[in-house]
Amino acid sequence: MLGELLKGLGTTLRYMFRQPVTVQYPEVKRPVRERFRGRHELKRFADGKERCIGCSLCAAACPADAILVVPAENDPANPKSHGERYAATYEINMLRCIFCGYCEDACPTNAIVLEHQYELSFYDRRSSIYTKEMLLVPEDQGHGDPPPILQQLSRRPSPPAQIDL
Amino acid sequence: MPDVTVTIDGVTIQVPSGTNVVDAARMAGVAVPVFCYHPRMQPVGMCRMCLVQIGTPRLDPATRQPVLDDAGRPVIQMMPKLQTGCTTPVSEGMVVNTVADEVKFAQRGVLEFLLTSHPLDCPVCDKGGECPLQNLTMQWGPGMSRFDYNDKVHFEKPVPLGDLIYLDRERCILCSRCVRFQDELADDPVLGFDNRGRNWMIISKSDPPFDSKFSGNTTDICPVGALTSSDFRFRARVWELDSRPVVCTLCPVGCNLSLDMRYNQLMRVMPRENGAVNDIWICDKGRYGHRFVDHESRLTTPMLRRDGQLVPASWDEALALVAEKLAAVRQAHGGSAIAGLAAPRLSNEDLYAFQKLFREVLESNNLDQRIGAPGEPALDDLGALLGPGTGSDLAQLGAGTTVLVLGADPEEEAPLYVLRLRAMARRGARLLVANLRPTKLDRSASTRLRYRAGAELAFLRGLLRALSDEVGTDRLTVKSSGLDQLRRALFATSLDDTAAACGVSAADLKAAAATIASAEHLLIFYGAEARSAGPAVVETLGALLALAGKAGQSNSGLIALLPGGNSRGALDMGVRPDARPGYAPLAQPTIGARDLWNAVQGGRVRAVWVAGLDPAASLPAARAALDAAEFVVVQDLFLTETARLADVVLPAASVAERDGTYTNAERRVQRSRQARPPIGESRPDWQIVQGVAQRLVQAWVATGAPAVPAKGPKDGKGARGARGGVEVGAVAVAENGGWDYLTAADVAAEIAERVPGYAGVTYPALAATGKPGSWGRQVNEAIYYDGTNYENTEGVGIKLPSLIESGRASLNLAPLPVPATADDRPLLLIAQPLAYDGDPLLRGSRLEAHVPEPYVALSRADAERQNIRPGDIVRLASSAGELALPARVVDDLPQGVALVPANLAGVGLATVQTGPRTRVSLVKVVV
Amino acid sequence: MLLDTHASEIETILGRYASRRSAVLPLLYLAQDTYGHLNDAAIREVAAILDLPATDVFEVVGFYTLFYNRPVGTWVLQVCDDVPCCYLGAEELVAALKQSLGIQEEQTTPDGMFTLQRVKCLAACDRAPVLQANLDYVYDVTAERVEALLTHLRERAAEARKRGVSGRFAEDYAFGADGRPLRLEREAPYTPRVFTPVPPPPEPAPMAPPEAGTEAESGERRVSPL
Repeated sequence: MLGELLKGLGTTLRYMFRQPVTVQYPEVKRPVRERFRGRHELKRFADGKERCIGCSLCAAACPADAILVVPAENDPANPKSHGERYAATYEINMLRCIFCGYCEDACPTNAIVLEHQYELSFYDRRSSIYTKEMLLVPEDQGHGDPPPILQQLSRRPSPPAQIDL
Repeated sequence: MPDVTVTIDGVTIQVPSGTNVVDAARMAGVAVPVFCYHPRMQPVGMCRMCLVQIGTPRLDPATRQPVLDDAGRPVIQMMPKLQTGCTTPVSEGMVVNTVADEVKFAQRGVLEFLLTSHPLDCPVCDKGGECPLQNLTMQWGPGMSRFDYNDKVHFEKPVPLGDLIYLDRERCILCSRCVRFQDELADDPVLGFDNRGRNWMIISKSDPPFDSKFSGNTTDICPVGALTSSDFRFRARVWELDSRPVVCTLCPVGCNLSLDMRYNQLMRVMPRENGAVNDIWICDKGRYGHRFVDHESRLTTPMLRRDGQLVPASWDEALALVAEKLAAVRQAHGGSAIAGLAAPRLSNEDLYAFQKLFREVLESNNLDQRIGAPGEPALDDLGALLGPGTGSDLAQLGAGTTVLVLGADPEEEAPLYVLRLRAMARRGARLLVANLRPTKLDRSASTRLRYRAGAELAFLRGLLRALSDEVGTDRLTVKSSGLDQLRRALFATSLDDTAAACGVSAADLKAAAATIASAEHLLIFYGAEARSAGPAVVETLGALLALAGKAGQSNSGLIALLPGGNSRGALDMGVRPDARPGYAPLAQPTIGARDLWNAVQGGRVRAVWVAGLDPAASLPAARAALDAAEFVVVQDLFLTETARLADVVLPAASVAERDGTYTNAERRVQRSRQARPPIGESRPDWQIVQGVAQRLVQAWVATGAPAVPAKGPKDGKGARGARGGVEVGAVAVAENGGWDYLTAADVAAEIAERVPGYAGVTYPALAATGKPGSWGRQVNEAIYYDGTNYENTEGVGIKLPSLIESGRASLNLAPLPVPATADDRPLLLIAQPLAYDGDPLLRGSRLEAHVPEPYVALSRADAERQNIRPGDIVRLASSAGELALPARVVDDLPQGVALVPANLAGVGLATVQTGPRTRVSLVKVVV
Repeated sequence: MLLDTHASEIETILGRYASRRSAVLPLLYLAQDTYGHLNDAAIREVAAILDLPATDVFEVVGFYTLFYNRPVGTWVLQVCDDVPCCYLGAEELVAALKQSLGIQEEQTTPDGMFTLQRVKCLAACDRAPVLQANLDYVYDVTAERVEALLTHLRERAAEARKRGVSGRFAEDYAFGADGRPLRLEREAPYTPRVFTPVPPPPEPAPMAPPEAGTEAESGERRVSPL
């Protein structure tokens, strides 16, 4: 009887000197793996332009139908992205999203990336819809140069009659 | 044509001789990829995508017999190089190989080359997802390109070809489909190639650029994303779209459309294939003119007039008020004090319910589909009496057919008929175009006949005389009367005199008559210009058809181009003062639109119900009368001028928001489906009518007032095959007096039962009319010719028999008296119908920019006589009034004619018109 | 308006052809000579005379390099830069012209005398490098002959203005012994060019020996080091 008690208290005593496996969430946040798929972010290029070109391929790939893209035409004087088209509306319904990452795979410009933020909770369903403003990274946090296909779109037209006449 | 036997990839089939290898392969179930070839156009072999290996039996030069090998089979001699399948017609014993390594190598090579300058911006391309270049590259193309991305030619993107079509020159593969469509099919040669080499590009140099009523079709047949619609630019990706089949109500052709919706919003309008109606084409009015369904000015709630203001109200309030007021008027003044006008663009169900409410509940026959403007010609019965017979199919007509187009401008009145008529002419039909002024169709005509202004009747009498000289009257087989009077009228003057009177030579009349006499099928199109010349002209057309022996026959008949998308349906449904549904004449004609406004002012009509028409906008008399009327109900899509005068305004659902059937000009009934829920609280017109009718009936049942004719109860059973699943109890039926439709199908079932000629035209029957054509989005089909989906799931519609064919009416050949005019003013004022006119349905569309400013078109001679230059303001004066308009000088207009656009807002043509044709004098206004 | 100023000439041209539209090229030449180049109004005018859709005439103007749809100088120098000319110094010729005239391709000198263009084969490869001054052919124009050519053309400027930019009365020129351009008779017998011996190019780097089979097949053919 006493033996069992001591054995149990011994276990307690032993664990008093061990590192706890739990963390003090939310004061302490456990780091996630590099490939963890959390909240989406819409990225920018280093020049500050949006990577998203409003092609809706993410919405097409989405198995949960969580993404809404409404494209629009860029104002040539003040383009939001490279080329003619950008997403006027970009919304993800986080309640629908299953974080499968298909949107990331589908994206031709690596605009949408599932990042490491995993704290997604809402007081009502309406606020589960993340708008473009919420998803887009700040303008100074862009990275990378646009790929040739987008640079081509922003290139000056070939002068006529220069090549073959 | 004799069949030839060919073997394609081991499949041996028989195909008609003259078929090209691509089409023959398709019949054998083998797909040959193509870009420039389009089955509706002549092959050119520009893209080289259809290269195949072709061999023919080797012939012995001496005997011209095939050389046989040891096994007794013909020795096949393969051609040394690959051949383009689209330009190679099949020949007997031909062997085609489409899967040889050589062929695959060529296909990969061609695609690699086509992609050298392609920007590969599929993610932002409106064609992406239905693009033949994508599809063919996936199936036949190389996985890699050896060309450097930075060497691609780069052009400014996109350039507007016109304001409807944008061109992206980088994407263009120069297949010339668009150029050939405009040249061959549309006869608007406004597209061409500029420059050469890598700078080869499409240009349009017409004024305004890309000046064609069919320009939208080029975006459909473009095999890449080079031509895109400005209207659909970046609105949605094509795979997000939900295609809903509807019928176009903007003109009487009744083209089959797909409304491509995303989340219940209209993204674009596409054609649906229907060989009997629109083939795979639609005009720009249909394609771009449907933005009204989403327009912000649509009515969304019922409105009542309270203290002089229209304020929103509930449906219950509004319907109860309408019922109460109408009942009161009927109680006090009888049913004939109520009049109803319904637009000829509403569906058959709406129009049937509307006239049923008036005839059976309100006991009034004061119905019309016109607004009572002086320029409106008489209602057209002949298009139904002698319409094309059952089994008519425009797609089958070609050699052996004669088409007479009289006094019509199909490009403006019913644009798609231009394509159909040209297609018939290309297949060998004889196209006689008779007009008093030149129209675009003249260029496609095999014979052009230009009669003098106002001499339509003389011309037709001359033609009829020449025809009866040619064939006599033996071919007249249909029930008719008055032949003797007709003969007397014809032979009163000699052919030469008649020819002199109409300005067409006797030889031309004889030649035209011979063409008509020798025709296997005879179609006669007539439009606003012919109808404005008076009913006698149209009657004579009927006599012409009958004497040619084509009355009541399949593929022969009269086709009237009437204003309004369902004008034939409105006539069939009896929305007219002189006949019940199915052209059953009334003993006493009642108050039609022409007399209505006077009758309102005179107190004979107290209450007016206007559905979908806007008389107040163009008729001052109507405005005054509606102001004076005791009670005015308006149901419409918008708050029109008329609606502003109404006591109750009821929001109606547009064509996209309800089910319905529509009857086109040749009397083909087609089904249109609901594409999305009605906007706001709007309801389909038939439901609105039913809501009032139910209240009226119940009120009378409750008060024991003189009730409805007891026709109702039997409707509850039997014939209503299409009724929805809900059974309605017999009591309810009796209480509602036959107003218990749950769906539009119920109304259609009652129409099928009760409207003569519509027997059997129920929704299930319409759906069972076959799945036409070959342009669906199936594997190896879309890839084959096109990326665009033309699939038609609704059938081709039911062609109604003509009245004469069904024996319900006989033809009166006796010539109608021609009223003499004593007006000697020098010019003949004719209202010219325009496709892009002041139609309120064009609002919100890009076509609004194409609506011209008001003008009066004068011939050069008339203009020079009074020293009028283009842009000068001229004053037209008739016995009715005056009108000042800027002048346009048109070179090829005949002298003595003044044309004014018919329906432009703000012209006020009614102030000067005394009838469909008005004699006017002309004075230049010196500022 | 052409119809006002050249009515009889247009009548003559139209009379030469069975169908009206066939006269599009001569009428465009006429318009080009009259207006100096073919602006949009001129092209539409020709279209109106011939009763053709304007787009069709624009197509023709766009296709042919001898129709100029923007202002050009008195002499349009079209230098062939296709393969044979290129081998014999077309690039050097273009460079010399550019330097001498101070303009780039597709540009016109400020005095309005010369416009420089590159074109593909002028079908005179036997006397490459070739350039076309309006429609006059000039043969064997090497870079060092540029100055002589330009001087000669400047002297003939008045003649060129009179003839018009289309040069409907074309002549052939080669360079005489004195280094000045010399007019050739059109039907003159062919005189082969005298080649000055060029020092042989340095030995190319040794190449892999061709395979025996190819050698046998191709006979004397050698793989070019270029």
